[in-house]
Amino acid sequence: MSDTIADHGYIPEEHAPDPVVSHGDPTPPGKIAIWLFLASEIMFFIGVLGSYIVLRSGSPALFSEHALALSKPLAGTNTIVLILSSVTMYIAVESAQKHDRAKVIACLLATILCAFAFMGIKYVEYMAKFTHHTIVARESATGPLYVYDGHVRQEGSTRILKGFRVEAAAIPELNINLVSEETVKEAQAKAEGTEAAKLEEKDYTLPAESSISQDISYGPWKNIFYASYFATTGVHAAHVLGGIVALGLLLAHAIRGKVLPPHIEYVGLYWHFVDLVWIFLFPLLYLI
Amino acid sequence: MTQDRLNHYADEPHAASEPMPHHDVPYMKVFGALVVLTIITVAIGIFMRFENEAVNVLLALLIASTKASLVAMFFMHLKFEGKLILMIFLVPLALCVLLVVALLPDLLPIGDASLHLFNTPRLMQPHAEH
Repeated sequence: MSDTIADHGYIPEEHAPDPVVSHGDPTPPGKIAIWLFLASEIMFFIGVLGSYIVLRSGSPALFSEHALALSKPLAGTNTIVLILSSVTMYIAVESAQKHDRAKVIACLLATILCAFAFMGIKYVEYMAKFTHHTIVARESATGPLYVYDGHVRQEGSTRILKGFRVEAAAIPELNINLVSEETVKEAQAKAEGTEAAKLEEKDYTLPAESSISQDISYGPWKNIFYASYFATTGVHAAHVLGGIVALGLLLAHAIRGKVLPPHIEYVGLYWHFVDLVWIFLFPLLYLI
Repeated sequence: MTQDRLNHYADEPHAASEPMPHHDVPYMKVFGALVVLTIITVAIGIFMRFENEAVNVLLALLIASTKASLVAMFFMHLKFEGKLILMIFLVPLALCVLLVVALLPDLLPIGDASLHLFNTPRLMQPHAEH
């Protein structure tokens, strides 16, 4: 008996009484631990979703109007990517139990690539929001006040906005936090006497900084819809990043010759849970 | 986590650590079902909007719950787990339902009279004590 309390100050796991096993249940403690962790994660996400529910019920029109501006094709692709990563993760767990190291490495790698693909698409979505501006400005000192809404890019020393523009007076009770691109587009169509569906995005050269009276991007500060959108997808993306770290560690061990079936199973459970959360976030934010 | 600890787990001898008994999960079928359901829910979201917002929400949540159940049952092996793991998963879900139910007074329109009582400070109500 070298592994004793006196030697190490703790009871080595193989000698410690196992409360679960001794009651005839073969569930390993590690698995119970990861499920308890997932239980706490469920409560974490319902907290975030609970505030989303309350905020949405307070401003249903704002939410459904701004949700239209999110990209359904990109988010739909991301959903498929995460589901695919769940399948590769499942095969990785199965291969680990059969000690098929090559397959474990291939599947963990595929899962990590899917995770990076998810984050890449998320980055494109986020950037599309951060470069999207609502701007109130005058072109000249005596000219009318305009509302611009569209994507801003820098060309040399000038800023170009690709989107829509209408006189501020055409939008009653203008509030740059609440107004959406769709509203500006419809007002512009009405002012020009065409239909909104036929109106194309145009490039507008933005006036100098000193002529701009208000400027806001579609970040979490835009309004409570974007606050909810960035908060929910942000905490989910943080979980994906955490998953990438865990998967990367498992992959490094597998490449060095150490396949760890229980660990791969536990990280797999976490990974499927992250997929499961996205399955709910996707329709809640993008589709309804 | 140190290398020692990892070695310890990898070489762990006793049968209790056998990760999970093998079950044949038709994971490609599950994958197919999940992809089909995703396409359906996106198609509904784009082309088949109902006038009644509640119908859209319930339909989207119904499809999401079906997908989530597939992931939990097959990928997370919940279908083959014992009562203990099932309880660890189901109890928080019940608490989630409880939390959302507790939000209902904030979500549903309640009668004018009760709203009036909720929103008016006690001192301003007729016949308040003091």
